[in-house]
Amino acid sequence: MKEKKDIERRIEETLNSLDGIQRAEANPFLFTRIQARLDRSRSGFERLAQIAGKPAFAFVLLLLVVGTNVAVMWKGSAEASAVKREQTQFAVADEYHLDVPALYDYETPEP
Amino acid sequence: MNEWELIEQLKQGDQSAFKFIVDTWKDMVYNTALSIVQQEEDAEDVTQEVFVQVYQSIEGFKRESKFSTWLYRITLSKAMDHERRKKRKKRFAFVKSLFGEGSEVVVDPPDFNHPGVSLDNKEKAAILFKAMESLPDNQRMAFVLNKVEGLSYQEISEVMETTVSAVESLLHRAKTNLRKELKTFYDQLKE
Repeated sequence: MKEKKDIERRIEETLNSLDGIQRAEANPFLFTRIQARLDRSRSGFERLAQIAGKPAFAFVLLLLVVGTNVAVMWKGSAEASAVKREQTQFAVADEYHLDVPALYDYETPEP
Repeated sequence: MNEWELIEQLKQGDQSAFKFIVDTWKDMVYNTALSIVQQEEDAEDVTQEVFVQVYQSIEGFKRESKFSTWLYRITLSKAMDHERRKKRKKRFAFVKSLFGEGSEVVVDPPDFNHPGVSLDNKEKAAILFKAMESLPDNQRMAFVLNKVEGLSYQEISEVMETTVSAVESLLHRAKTNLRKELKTFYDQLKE
């Protein structure tokens, strides 16, 4: 019982141990370090801009755009020719009555 | 010069306004970050990240809340991100060690001693900070804002964008969980 009370007391003391806590102070050179960090991130953007401005980058980008366009056009024309082929097949089938009659096409004799 | 004039100047890229802002609020940001990440180097890193974010996104700051409220939000978000990264790293190192890859072990830092705690409370405060690590994120943030930064329930509710009663409930649950954690700790100490 005494032991339990002792633990309870220690828990309460621990929970109250932050009473009257003072603020921790930051590094006095913090502003200089933040500025250096900002400069680094700025120079990162500048490096990216430099790379983007190089002719090699522009050439690769151009190739990518042209390549994507060619791929889209090729895929589109392949799809279009498939549709055209199908239409021709249907037209020939209609012309020569090549369609397979379905069961419900037969006339059932009336009793 | 008031807070809004300072912010307007910072929006125009005024470096002296930015320096004034850093000097005014750096201890508040550092103290909050330190109480969450519990390592001085990491807390300084988080503090730098917070002010870099302030500089880069000041344009997006509206007059809907106080500047310090906005600053607390960024600090808590960065500090909790840091904690999540640390936990992920620890888990990854553990999984790696299971497969026998890499011998480096992530060592838990020694007990954290907050520099603002009085000498006679140092030991107990270190135990409390350790126990705080087990709290869910929201409870931990509310507890730090209340106990370390001394914010009222109203101020915490503004920072955490919730109601005062929700803050009361968060703090109540935080204390209950801490009591459980501390009881286990002291029980083990007796054995």
